Amino acid sequence: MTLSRRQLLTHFATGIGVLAVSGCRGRDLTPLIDALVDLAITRDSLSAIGEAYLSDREGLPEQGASSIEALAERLAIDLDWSVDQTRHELSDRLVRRIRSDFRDSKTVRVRGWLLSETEARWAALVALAPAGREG
Amino acid sequence: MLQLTDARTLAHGDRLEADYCIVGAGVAGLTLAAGLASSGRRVLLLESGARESSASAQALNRGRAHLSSLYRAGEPYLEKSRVRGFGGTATEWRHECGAIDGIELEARPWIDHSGWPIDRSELAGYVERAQNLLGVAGDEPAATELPDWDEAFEITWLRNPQEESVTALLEPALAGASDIEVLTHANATEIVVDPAAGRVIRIRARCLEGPELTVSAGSYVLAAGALESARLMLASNRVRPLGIGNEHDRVGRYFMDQIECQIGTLLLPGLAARMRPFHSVPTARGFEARAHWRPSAKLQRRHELLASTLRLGRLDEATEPPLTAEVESLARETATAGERVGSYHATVTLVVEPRPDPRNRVTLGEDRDPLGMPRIDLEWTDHEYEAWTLRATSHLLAEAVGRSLAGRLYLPRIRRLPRYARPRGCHACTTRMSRDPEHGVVDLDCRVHSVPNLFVAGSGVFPTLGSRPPMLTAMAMALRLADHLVRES
Repeated sequence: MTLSRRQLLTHFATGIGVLAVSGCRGRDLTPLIDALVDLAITRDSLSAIGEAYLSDREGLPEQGASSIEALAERLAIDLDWSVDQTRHELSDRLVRRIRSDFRDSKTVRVRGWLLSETEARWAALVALAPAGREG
Repeated sequence: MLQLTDARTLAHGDRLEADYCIVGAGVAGLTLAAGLASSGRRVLLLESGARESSASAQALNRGRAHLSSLYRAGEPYLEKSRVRGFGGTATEWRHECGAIDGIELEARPWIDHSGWPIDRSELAGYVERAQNLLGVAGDEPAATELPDWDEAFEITWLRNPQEESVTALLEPALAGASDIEVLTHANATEIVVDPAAGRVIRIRARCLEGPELTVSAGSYVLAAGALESARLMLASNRVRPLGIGNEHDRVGRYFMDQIECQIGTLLLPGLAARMRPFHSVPTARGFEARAHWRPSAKLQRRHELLASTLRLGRLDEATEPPLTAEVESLARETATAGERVGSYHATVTLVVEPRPDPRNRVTLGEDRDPLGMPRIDLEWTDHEYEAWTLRATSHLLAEAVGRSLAGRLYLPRIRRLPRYARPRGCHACTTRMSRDPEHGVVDLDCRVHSVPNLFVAGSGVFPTLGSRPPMLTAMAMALRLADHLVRES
């Protein structure tokens, strides 16, 4: 089943309207979300991939890992994010992580395309982020 | 001068003589004849078909084939995948030429019965001679600009002769022959062996409508294709009940064919110009060459893969995968190289080397053809390793492309790939070469182990088939056999 963007946002992003998103370590991940959305040059394209990724996972046991909080937390860990990182540093870490995902077989198929887990999570986060959030 | 004679014009019971009798005027038989052209000896080829293929000759190909998931019931695999006529099946092949080489010739511990027992450099010399016959000899284009995904996949070239007809390509080599004759409509029906001497003394041949003939020669070469040569050896069982050369029950075993499958779509933003050689590039010698990928030897060893070759093809816009524009944008966002324009989209087709397995075999069925010969019963059913290699190699390519950040691969059906795979009609290995008579049918000179004046030419003698079109290797082996026959005489 393919969910519309509106359905997805309702389904996964309840409470997203609040300004701050906290990770399980109590960190405020809002700057990371903003920065990752800001990195998306073509947000619509990334959102479409993210929606497909989330839709493919709908109903699966790990669906909880697809909330924006969980995605941000996971990306914060994988990208070794800290609040003082520059945009350039974050972009560099993202690219390196995507490359290492492919090297380590950490991949996922989205509508038949073999993508890195990190880029798929990045796309999902962008899809879930409220409009107007990008820098 | 090459002479074509319609065997139907000869008298019933005619006894013909030659120094060499070759069964089959396909690419292997004609190349062998070309190799013998300057020997001054009389060469007689028996060709089942005519100058062109005919329905009545093609009907002789009928038989039973069990090809499990690769074979849709009712598809006439045995009829459609080979051509009876001057030039043989090569008249219908796409003429991309590339010889088996590298790791595909090695004895690989993870592939039982693999390994060619002949010297690689010797084979390479004959490959070059075969390339000269086809007008495709010379250096390959430089491959430095082509992506190899951190050397996980290597570039390999296939060459396209300028002239499409194989027979036309071979004509210059045959034109200078003093005494080469092709008898068309002449179907070899029995190899007759002298029980005391153990040598072939004649070959019987029949026309569908017309006389029966016999040919006596000093040496005999079966070049009728991997299926037909095995069939003739098995059916010649009057003196030796198991058939000729079949003392160890090897004739007809190890049958194989390459497996082809379109695995998905490749997307490389900004690399359109660089990828052109994967479709065609002119060479300094005038022929066209086309780049392909194949997994590096290192990758094949690490993952214990069967060999494979990957071909790129033009993508029909109507079949563009979902999310193509979006994934292209994503790939551009993370790309480290490439132009801003000129995205490259292509289908990816993988040709997998089949696994040698003695259970896959040609035997004689109970039905008989109009000439009274038993029809073929072909068993080729276990493709698990080939299917696994298809999936694994597809995944490895997708990971390598992604790792390079140059693009992404669309693999819509990776778990169900075997369902979309098809045999290519490149039959081989039924009379395979071996040092030990218990493991094969012919020795290193392509001589049947137990019959001193009977030889086999063509892909039937290959120990393994590899993943490239077998024509060039079959031609190289035929030239090698010609040299041996000349030396022996």
